[in-house]
Amino acid sequence: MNLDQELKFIGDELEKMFSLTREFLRRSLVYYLSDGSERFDARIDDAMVNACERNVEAWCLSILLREKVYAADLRRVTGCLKLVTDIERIGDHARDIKDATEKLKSLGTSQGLDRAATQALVDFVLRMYDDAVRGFVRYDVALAEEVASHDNEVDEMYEKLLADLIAKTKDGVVSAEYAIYTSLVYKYLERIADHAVNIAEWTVFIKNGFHKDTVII
Amino acid sequence: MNEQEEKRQARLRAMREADSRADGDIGRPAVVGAPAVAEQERREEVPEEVVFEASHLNLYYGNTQALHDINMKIYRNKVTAFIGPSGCGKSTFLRCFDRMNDLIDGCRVTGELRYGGVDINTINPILLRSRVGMVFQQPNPFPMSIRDNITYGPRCQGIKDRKYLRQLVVDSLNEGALYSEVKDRLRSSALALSGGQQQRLCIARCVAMKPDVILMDEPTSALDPIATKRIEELIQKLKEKYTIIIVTHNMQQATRVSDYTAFFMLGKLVEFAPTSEFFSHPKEKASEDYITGRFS
Ligand SMILES: Nc1ncnc2c1ncn2[C@@H]1O[C@H](COP(=O)(O)OP(=O)(O)OP(=O)(O)O)[C@@H](O)[C@H]1O
Ligand SMILES: [Mg+2]
Repeated sequence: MNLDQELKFIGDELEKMFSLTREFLRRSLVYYLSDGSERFDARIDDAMVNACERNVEAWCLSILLREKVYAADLRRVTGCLKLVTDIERIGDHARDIKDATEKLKSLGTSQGLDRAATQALVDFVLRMYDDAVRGFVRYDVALAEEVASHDNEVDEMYEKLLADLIAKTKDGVVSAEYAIYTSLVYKYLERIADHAVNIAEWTVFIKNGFHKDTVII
Repeated sequence: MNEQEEKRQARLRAMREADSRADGDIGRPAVVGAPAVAEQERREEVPEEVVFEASHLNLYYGNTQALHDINMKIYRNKVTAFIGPSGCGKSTFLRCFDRMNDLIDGCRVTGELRYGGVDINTINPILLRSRVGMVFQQPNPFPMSIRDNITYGPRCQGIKDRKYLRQLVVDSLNEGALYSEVKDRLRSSALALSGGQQQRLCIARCVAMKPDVILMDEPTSALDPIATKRIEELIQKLKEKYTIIIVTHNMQQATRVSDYTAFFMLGKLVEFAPTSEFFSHPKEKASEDYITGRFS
């Protein structure tokens, strides 16, 4: 394989990770937002995601070991090496959401769920992840920069949901256990948005060498 | 300048401003940007002294033109690397700096090459070559003792003071990072040294002439990795005192030892830039293709 083929292989493996984690996440959230006794559709797990991560890391490191990469190639290899971690984390959080949902389901109530506001956060976060992925795959820096700019909006939605949950807990509308597991789910969503932002920022780095406000190379 | 390049420059400016505002503020992160970037910023602030300047330089071997309209500056106490595919004219250009091309039949140069602001054609070539030394690809010690290799040049210049010469041998071999290895056999033949040692002897011999500029044409391509590393470290040290131009096919070597890189192709200077910039953000497509190995 020549370098171009290897870079393509890494890109393909990352795309595979994207679609695995995206589907894993979708199922976890469907499970979370469902109100009945639906079972989690468990055909995807994080072991598959982890295997892809290993592949990406191994190929990137092997390129760095064998080749002397410069300019765009260097940014591509190191950028992929960085953003693969963020994708893997998103996979972890998909599993975390599933686990928290199981706890919530075992409590046997979903009366405290603010479905509309939660759904809004879920949609927003998923769109950020999709856009981050599209930005990376298409090498679209404008889209990546847009994703990165949504960081604060997610934080606001998260804070508002959390405040609401605290109020409901104080008023005795929801139990302490319910509040704790629900706040975890909110936190995971907020973290997923952060990782989407990271992916977008590494995409910008791959294109032009700066990350956030710092020119790295 | 394209849009991305403009953004990049804007970030660099913003970083620089933030940097100067935060001067002395212990709270800020120790490293803002890569050291290479910081170095490059400093470079922009302090104007550098130009040692050599080529303008519209053309060189012909008979009817064949080997160098085309070269415009370039060489800066004092910096290492400038010449890179490019075989036959692109690196050695030819290097030989212009000490007028070694004068010795080649049918070789003709037009345009100007100034040394310290003076047209080099007006400088006595012997004098010029005592200021501008050359180290070649194949170590070429003279077939005489280590000591005599060092003193040969100065003796030819008429220096006879034995005490001075004795000290010169020690100092030059030290500068060539060779003294500790040969101090007990200064009278034995230089040809008995290893290749790496011979090359360091050649550098020491060059330094003994108290030059201003040292030219090196692929000085490590005949050496093993350890000997190469020693020469590279030596170059880093030598640049504190001398201005160095090095031709190399080893791009990692260029990134390790040089401050500026000049990339040549088919006798033309394609790009000249600070080395860190050149290897991370080459401006020309031909440069990018060459350093990323997509050159055909
Ligand atoms: N003495 C000479 N007479 C005629 N042509 C020459 C002479 N020396 C070099 N050339 C030609 O000039 C061109 C540049 O050669 P030069 O040796 O400068 O290349 P280079 O970049 O140093 O290559 P390499 O990396 O292989 O050392 C080549 O086409 C070469 O054939
Ligand atoms: Mg040559």
